[in-house]
Amino acid sequence: MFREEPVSFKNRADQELFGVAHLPLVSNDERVRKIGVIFLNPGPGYRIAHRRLYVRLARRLAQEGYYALRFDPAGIGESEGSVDEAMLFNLFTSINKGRFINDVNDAADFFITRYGLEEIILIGLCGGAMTALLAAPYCRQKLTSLILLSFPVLFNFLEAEEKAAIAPAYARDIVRGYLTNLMNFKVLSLSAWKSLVRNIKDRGLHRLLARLLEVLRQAVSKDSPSFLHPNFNKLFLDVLERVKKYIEINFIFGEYDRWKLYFEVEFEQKIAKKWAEKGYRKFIIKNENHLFTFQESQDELIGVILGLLPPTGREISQVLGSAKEGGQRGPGC
Amino acid sequence: MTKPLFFKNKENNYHLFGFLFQPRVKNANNRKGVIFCDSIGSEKYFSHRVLVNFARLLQANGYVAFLFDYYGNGDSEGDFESTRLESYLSDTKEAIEFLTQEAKVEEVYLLGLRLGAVFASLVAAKEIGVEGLILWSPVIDVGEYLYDSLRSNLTIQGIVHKRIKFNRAQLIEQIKNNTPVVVEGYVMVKDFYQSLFDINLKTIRLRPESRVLLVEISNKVDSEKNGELDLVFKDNNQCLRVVIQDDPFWILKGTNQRYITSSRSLFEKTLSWLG
Repeated sequence: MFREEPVSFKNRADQELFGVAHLPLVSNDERVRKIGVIFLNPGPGYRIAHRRLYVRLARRLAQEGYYALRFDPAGIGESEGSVDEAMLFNLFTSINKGRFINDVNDAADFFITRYGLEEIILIGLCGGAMTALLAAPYCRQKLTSLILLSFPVLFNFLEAEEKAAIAPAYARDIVRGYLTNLMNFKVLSLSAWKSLVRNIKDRGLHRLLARLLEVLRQAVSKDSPSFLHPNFNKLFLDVLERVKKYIEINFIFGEYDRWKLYFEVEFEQKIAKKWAEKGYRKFIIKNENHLFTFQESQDELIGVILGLLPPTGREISQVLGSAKEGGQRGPGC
Repeated sequence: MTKPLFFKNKENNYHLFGFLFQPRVKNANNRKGVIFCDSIGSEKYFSHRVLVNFARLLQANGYVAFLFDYYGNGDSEGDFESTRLESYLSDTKEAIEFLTQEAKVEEVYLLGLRLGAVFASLVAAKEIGVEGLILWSPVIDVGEYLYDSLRSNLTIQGIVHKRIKFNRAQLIEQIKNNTPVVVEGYVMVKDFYQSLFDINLKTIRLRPESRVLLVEISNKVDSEKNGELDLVFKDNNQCLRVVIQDDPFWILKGTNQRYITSSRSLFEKTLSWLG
């Protein structure tokens, strides 16, 4: 049982930002803790997230007794402001450098004050996950945990593909992808052949062959380059080191998400394995992709997220409350 | 003033989410209201900011603009798999009623994008209170559109199963046999599919007095353009057909593309047509 209300508030740049709050049915029992979860927009996407993922998650969390807020920072959704970047990857880069962190902190202040919250958690997908991490040092003391879905350790996937020396793990992944495509529908796809011809025209056959050879060479190699990837987001490391001592950090990836591979190769294998204490937890959702598209696996995702949230104490209150009130419940969505 | 709100679909007893953009200036346009009939799924998601920016432009020019989410879409109540053609049409009618009562507009225009253009046309064909239709790159053959949308399911099968277990014809059969199929994270069920698949914009007959702006948005050269649009509303002599050269802003293919939040020539053309 929960209710929903549209909200608006001003950020520090005096722009009006909009969102939707999901509110559990109010309990007057003081033992029930008011815990808020803020969803941060993924990249250029707005507050519902791809495939309405945030809507489903927020509603489920509100049913479980949590306060949830989905809002749009400046220039996104219906919120005031504009995004002037001409290309999408420029926008992604600016997000991965902390474009929205002030708006997140203003949203957290609004959310805490409006509903009298005792604790807040930030959840973000992809660019939203990076925003959550980068905003964490500036949030008020009530931020206790981060839940980071499909976290991007590199600035830009496209540039990463083009510029980086190919690690064997990626090369094997690329070869697997080529073979899958070859064995499946793309061999019959006219648009795939058109795209190949266009690629040859744009980049030259010799370059494509050189890249293919490099991919194959690395795919059978056992060595992994130890240097930091040229597109590695160093801000991520700086902030992670700062906040992991006092904020619980949880990474969640879909099994088939390419960013999981980047996280494991570029961060865990090259950096985190040298740390005495990891200071974070990682969860993998089976049979899922970057955007958590599948309904069955979404249930697993919701289960993992609920397991990571601190208890509200609502269960004790409900048992005692229903005994006292004869099990009656108020209306809700 | 820009106001987010929930309003009720009284016929079906659920709540829909909307944004009301009320005019910033007082002029003759204040009595005209534009209701946005969105597309669904990823097209809705990727085009959202373009629609918002056009709503703001209308607001700045004295019009009332109303963006709302259909049941099971966006911020509205419900799950996508419970939606049917009837719910989309009923929601559009409720939006018209809400706008005329809440914002006191006297002339209602429906602006439909892609599949939303089909819903807008079906409502306009029956509702007397619709002054005109603005259709941005409308879907013409809905069955073909739904068939095309299954491509994403094949991609996911390739990733998860490393092969295609079911082709599109087999997926359609599954849907018809009551086995839901996931399309870009949205569950397509039999009732949804069957209520929509045989709709074709070419067969919809509008009332003769309906004003229509039919816009094809395309980045293709003339020879590759969709001549099918010429067959839509061909009996309606108040239908203005326009081609706007621009990228389709409802599609996202990758990060190496323009980040589109507005379309200058599309906005200018539509605004001037509204008068």
